[in-house]
Amino acid sequence: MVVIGVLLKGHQARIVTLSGTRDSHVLKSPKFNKLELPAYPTQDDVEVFVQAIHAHCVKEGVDKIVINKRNESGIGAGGAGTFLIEGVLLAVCKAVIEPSHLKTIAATDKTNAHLKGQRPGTKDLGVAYDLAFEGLA
Amino acid sequence: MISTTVDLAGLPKEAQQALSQFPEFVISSFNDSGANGFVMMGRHQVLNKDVAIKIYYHDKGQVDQEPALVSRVLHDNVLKVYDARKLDDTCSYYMMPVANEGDLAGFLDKYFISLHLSHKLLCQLLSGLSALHAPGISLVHRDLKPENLLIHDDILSIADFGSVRRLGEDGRAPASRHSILYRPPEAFGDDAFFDSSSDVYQAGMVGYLLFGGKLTNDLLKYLTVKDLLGLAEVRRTGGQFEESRFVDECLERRIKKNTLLDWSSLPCYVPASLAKILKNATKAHGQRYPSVSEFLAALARVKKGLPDWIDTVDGPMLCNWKKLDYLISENKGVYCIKKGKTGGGSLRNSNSFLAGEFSDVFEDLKVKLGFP
Repeated sequence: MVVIGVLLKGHQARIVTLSGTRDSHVLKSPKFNKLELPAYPTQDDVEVFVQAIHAHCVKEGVDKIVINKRNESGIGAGGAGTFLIEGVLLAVCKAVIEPSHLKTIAATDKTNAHLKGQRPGTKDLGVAYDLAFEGLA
Repeated sequence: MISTTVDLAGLPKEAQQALSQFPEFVISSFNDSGANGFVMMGRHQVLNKDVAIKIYYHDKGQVDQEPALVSRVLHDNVLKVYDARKLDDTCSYYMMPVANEGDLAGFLDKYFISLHLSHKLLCQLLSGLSALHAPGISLVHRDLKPENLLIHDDILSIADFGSVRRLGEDGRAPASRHSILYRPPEAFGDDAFFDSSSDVYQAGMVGYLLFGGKLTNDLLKYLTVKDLLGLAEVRRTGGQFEESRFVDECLERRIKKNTLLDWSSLPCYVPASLAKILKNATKAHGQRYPSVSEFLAALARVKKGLPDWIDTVDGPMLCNWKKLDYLISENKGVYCIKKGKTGGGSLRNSNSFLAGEFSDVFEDLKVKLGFP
């Protein structure tokens, strides 16, 4: 099973692709790790974004995409950037898209943290990895 | 069959045979510039569409390869096939949509292209390639060059599938001997091969041309002084075959040393970040982007804030930078900036910028406007 974890933050999408299971998985295309949309995207900006994510999904044969769930209100509510990127992903990706909450990741870590041997060191990519891990069987 | 511009009797017999099989097709023009066949453009009266018929020659048994490969790929940037038929054991033809601007080589000769359009066309090329490389299809084009890419209403389609091959289990296909200028370094020598990153190399070369890089088809222009002396010796002692082989060897050395492309020929307004991406795409095998998706991701990142420069007959022009257009205009050897509202029509001299040498004026504009 191939799963992409996408951390939507500001106008950026940080991406980690995992293949395998929770017990045994590998990082795929580690250099395909960041895409962004400008604050006021044009149709061309969105088209390039779509082409890039679509090409990656096709190449890796992605089964599932896990994105971080937006807070709808209150402190930490998702901004326009994350909303835009989430909309683009929902509209164009053929793979199943599942939202996952950061609290779910924390809960998983209580029991499965020892399986996350491939977790990238950087903070955002680490969370994208956690999201992808949530999608693995 | 009515044709106002083409002398039907003067067409090759294969073209006449194809026309007799397709009474619905009304020919309007004929193009025999291709290396392995020719193309007839016209209108399909039943579909009510402009279509082209490509007639091509092939070895016995390979009759169905080209249209069969094309028809498997469904993508906006890969040419579609409407119909395919066989004329004889070594000649077949297929019908495809017509491209109103012809091939990319002609398009680049005919128009000045803005950075935004160049970027868009390159992304479309890579997007189409991703469909060819997709698992399950696993094809490599092996002959990507401007002559094999079609443009219709500013949309690029990958065409000419004569050299397409399926990747083997090791992810490799035999090297193509087409178009030496576009051949990647790994496609030379005894263990020559082609893989999906070889298509990335060729797409990088197409990108180099799209963004204004220069690449002549006159192979002798790539020869060094030492090579030319060697060529003179070969001409004295050998025939045309030896001469051609010598030139190919010189080019092979250049391609392997990665010195074929003259990066200084890119216009000064192409951002360094973009030039770096193109350089990364045309590096040696193993050092370049391994897949089109990584190339595309790099291009997507650089799109943000990309200034929309275009060459015009009056000089390079920066379009729609914060709703203003800027033209670097020359008058008696002195360059100055003219500016005006985007879409406003007239541009006027601006005293806010330096006048003088081109490089000084450009740098001043770059610093004051803050583009990359």
